[in-house]
Amino acid sequence: MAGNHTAKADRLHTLLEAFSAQLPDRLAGIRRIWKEVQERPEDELQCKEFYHQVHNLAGSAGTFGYHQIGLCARRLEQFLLQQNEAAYCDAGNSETIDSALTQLEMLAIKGADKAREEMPATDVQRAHDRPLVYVLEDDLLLAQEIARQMEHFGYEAAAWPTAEEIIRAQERRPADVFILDIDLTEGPLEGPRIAPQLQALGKQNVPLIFISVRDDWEARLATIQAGGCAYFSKPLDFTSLIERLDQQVGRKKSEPYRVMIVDDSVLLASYYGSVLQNAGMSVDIVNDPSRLLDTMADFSPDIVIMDLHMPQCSGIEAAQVIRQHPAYQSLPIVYFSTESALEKQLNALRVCGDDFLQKPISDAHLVAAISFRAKRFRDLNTLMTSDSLTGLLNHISLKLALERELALTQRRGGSLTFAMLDIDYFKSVNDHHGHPVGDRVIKSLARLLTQRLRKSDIAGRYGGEEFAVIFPDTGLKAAYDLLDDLREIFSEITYTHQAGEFSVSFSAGITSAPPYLDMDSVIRSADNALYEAKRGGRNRVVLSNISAAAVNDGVKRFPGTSKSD
Amino acid sequence: MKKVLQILYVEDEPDIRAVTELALEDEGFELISCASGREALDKAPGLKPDLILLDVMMPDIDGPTTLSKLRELPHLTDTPVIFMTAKVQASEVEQYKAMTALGVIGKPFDAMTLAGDIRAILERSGGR
Repeated sequence: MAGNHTAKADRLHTLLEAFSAQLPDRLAGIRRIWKEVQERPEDELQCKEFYHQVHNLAGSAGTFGYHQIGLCARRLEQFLLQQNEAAYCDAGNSETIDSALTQLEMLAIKGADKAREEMPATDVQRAHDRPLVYVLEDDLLLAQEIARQMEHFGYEAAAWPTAEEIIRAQERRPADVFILDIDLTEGPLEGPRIAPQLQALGKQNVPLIFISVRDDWEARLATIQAGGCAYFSKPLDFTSLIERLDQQVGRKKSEPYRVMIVDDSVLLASYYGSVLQNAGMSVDIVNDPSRLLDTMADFSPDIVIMDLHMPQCSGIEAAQVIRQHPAYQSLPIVYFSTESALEKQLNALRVCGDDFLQKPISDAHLVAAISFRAKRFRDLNTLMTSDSLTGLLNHISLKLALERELALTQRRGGSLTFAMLDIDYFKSVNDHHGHPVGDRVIKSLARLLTQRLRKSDIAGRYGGEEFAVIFPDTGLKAAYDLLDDLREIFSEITYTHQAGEFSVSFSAGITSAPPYLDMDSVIRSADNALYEAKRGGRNRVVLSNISAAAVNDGVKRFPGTSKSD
Repeated sequence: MKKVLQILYVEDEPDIRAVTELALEDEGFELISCASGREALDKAPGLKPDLILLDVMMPDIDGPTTLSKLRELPHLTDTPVIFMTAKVQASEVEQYKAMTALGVIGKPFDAMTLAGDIRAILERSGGR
């Protein structure tokens, strides 16, 4: 359903573009008729045609996203309605009409972009949007280093040594975030001085982050007055800098709530489904309860809306079947029915279920009731399933996820790849730099995993400095390439500490299912490969024996792979 | 198993017709589009639509007039009707309803929700 929705949005977009393209001609046409009306005010047909075209524009512009034009045309239409047609050209009236038409033409010129933004953007467009960071730093080496670190964490970065150059770049292509040094070769406090100019050139409210060796009041105050949102002293702590960037560009976006609707009425289910979808939720509909469990495993809903009366079984019975599965013990189930007798409602809740929504229900009520419950379920679930330091899945949830994905793989066919990662010489990081620094290293690997893995990949903190990643529907080669890139990137991240800079690497072992099918042997096999990676010298990714044999000579095509044999 | 509802749709504006056609496609509706009341009246004798969707303000024959002429055809006396119009004020909606319309969809409308809006009107009056 979601895919359909996107395809439709795309095609709507095409229609919108056609409308935009015709708009100038259309307004010119209205202008032409208005001239003819002025030349022959007595021509009633001409007047009617003029009115009709304004009316049509009032009705259609809004639908194509030109809300301003729609409103303006509506006002003109209403004005025309109040006049006698013969009076359109009276002194005061014709002036009003002229200025309304001019306003429409102006709006058409500047309105196109804004209107386009109001159309739903496709997910595809959003996915590869990497925020653009501009760095102003006269120390060229440091500038390059900052840009490189930004790139590691999924930003597009460019650095310039002078104000003049960054302004020129900003004119060509506006940035999403600025990182500005305070003192430049041009003079002290040059960074804060040019900040307003930079911001005026580009998008609105672009975050400004200042960096400096200075730590005095004057410098700090200057950045505040320039509208800076953060201040980092050199030497830079890149981990905190990135964390701040992530916050500023709002990259921690949450996934849409997944709602499963179980209702034998196709029409009604799809209606409620579209209401929830329009509110930004992701919806799956089950019309036949016997398909329920399979669909749930694939969709993993945050909430289930259950029709109470279905021909195959009652909603209460279906809910009980769901509850038999330990994984769904706390999943919210909301009954949906025309049942208004309180006693019957209470009975339904007593057996199992969390709430009762009565049909007919207003769209707003439905959206509020469902999103509120889905949010609470998800919040609680996150607390229970995630590791508090990194936000990744914790040990138990990772194993549950692996179990689920293995079952899915077996049912669907295809293959799954599983990897275990361990930070090299982590104990010495803790011993030399202290636990807070060790935590920073762990967090930075977690962040790297979150940002660089694909949306479908599942990462967890397996314990201490050990991580695990599930790559569903992924062959060894693809997972290997991904992980080896990550390994390289991770090893290039520098951590700053009083004693100076250091960097860290990780080792990883990869295995796949099939050949392994049960969770324990998958984990053991990946763990063995990880051990081989450590033994082989660390900072490397190693394929498990049997997986390597399974892909056969394919292994030779993996550059730099040391096989665990 | 989903019953496709056939809609007789009358709208003089080609842009809006295109959006509506797209909005209702694959949503369980089959659209028979007409560019004018005249065209609808010409086509109507051979059709038995489940719903009539009418723009109110059209040149030549307007929506309400089109409706009253359609109602003269014996097989369309009870067909549900929804009006589409730019002017949606409560008093007007009542007028349209007095003309046996189930509901009114305001213009501009949101193409992404149009199918849902129509279904909602149908269900409200269908007493489900």
